[in-house]
Amino acid sequence: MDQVHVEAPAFSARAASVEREFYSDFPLVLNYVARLVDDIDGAAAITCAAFRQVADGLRQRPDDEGLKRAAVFRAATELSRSVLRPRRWFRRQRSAQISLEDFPQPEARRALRRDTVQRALTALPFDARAMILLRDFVKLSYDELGDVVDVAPRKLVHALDRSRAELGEIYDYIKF
Amino acid sequence: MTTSSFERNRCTRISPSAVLDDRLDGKDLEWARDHLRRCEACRERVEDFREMLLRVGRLPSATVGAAAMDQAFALSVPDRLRSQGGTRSFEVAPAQPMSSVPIPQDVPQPVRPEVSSIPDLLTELEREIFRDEPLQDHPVPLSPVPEPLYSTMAAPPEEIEPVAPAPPEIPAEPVAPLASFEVAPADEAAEPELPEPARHEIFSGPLREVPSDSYRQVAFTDWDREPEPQHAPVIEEPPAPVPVTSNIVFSQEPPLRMDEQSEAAPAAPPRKPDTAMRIAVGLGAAACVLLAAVLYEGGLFKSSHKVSSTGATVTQSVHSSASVRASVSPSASPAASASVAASTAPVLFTFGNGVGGGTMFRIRPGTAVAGYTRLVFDMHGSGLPTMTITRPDDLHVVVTFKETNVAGAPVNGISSYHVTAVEPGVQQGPDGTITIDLARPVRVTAFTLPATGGYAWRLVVDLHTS
Repeated sequence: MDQVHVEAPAFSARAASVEREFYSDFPLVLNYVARLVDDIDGAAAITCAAFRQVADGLRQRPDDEGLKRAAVFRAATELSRSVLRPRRWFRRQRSAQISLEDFPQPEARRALRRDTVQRALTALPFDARAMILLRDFVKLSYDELGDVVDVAPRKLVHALDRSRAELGEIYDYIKF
Repeated sequence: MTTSSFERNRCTRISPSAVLDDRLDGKDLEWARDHLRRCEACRERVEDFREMLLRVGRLPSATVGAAAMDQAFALSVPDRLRSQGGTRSFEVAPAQPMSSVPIPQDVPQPVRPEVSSIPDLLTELEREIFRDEPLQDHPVPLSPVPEPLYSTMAAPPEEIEPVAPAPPEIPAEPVAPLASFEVAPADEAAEPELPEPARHEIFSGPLREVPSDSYRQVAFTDWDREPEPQHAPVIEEPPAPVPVTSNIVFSQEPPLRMDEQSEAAPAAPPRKPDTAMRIAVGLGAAACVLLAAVLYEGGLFKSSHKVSSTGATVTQSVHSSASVRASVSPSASPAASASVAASTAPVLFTFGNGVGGGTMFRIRPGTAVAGYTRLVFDMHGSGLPTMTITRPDDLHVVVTFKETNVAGAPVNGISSYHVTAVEPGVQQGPDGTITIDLARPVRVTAFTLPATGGYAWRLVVDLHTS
């Protein structure tokens, strides 16, 4: 018997949208995760897992158009938080990593390690770090930021105030 | 919106984030502008926040190449959202005969083919990340681990027929596909996790056509077993009768040598928890620490500790003569100190990129941390000159800047628990020398910092209590 060909134009548009959003957001999310977990080698696996998580959810909701940026950042933030969660004592921690071709470049790894601002960011609590990176590095709007970190936009100003003040203190302390 | 109260010693009536992120409007904005005109503290805070915001915003981003993007896209986005851009085709009949690899008759379709077609690395990551978490903590329910393809093989092992799989030396024609096979789509048939390729490697020769029931003899009988010992039931059989068609050379060889090798190993090794190994390693480490502590308390490590931590210092103290020590004092002239440094001093560190023509314009104390003294040398120029830190004796550290002017750097007022004084810079030709007079013997560490923001190129010298 022959093959039966079925046209799926709607799916095609959505696939194109997903592809376009992936290629536009992936480097940004990857750099955000690398700064958030302070590990550029493990960031690729977390980022891919975040995109896959959002794409899986997208498959279950056929009415959604494509990958929502805030959803991807939210998934990446939660996965990063889980990765950084302390493990039990003396428990072997396997590092599941994905090796992408020519990534990370050695100079990017060195820059992440030597950056004073990055060291100050690493010393911050996770939520404060995520908030500062999402607002100042990724440059999300307040609405998107509130969606990602689950904080009301009205309270975001105070939360950002505290986080930035703490970052400034840490930076002033370690900048030499 | 315009007040913030996490600092009490300064005026905190303005929220810098609200100002910088344009969250004010109307009367709040007017009031904030008016207040900022009058309040120096708030202006400074807003400026500090703006600098920090710019620093974070200017963080460099790692570039991702096109190949890496394609690879990540294939890993991240499921097939159904990725590859079915236009026409989708469905197989409605048994497809082309597969290759000579026999396909088990009772292979069910994968439960979630689109998930199982993605490399398993991400599933491993998710499983690792959320191992300790209940399911409801996760923002989106994770997809279950793909079910094993051979679900019927979890049943008790079937009775093994005496007919073994054909020895590899028998020439055979390719296996014809059976009509009752459920042929999977091409991408699913090429699933790397299927065990057929491994079996194909073992039986490297052409396979003889066998009845479909005989295939189950080499199937898994227990899910706890590793994929490799799948031929264990064959081993436990009595030796298979030698086929009539086998030649004499192969009949002298023991049949299925790989199976015999697997027989030497346990056929189905149970997965032991490695708790015992971990406990043993932990006890060993604890014993080592205790032994080291006992040896240290006994004084055995004390002499070697000095050698290992400040090897250069020990060498210097051994080789430098008493006359040199006597001639150099905190009150000695800078020229004398520099000459001593140039002649016999051991080199502790060498830094820099060899950029000349700069000026070392300032020496300042760094972060005040108890336990060490930090001296920061600020330099103007296009880069770091070659800098050498030497130590002529226990109470002097000499920093030499190659092809750098150090004459104008003010050195007054620098003293600490470790530092008696910093002598004025001495210019010897193109090179400049700064001598640090120490109050007591110290351990020296140093590093350099590039020019960032409002800071110039820096050499940082830390003097630790030795």
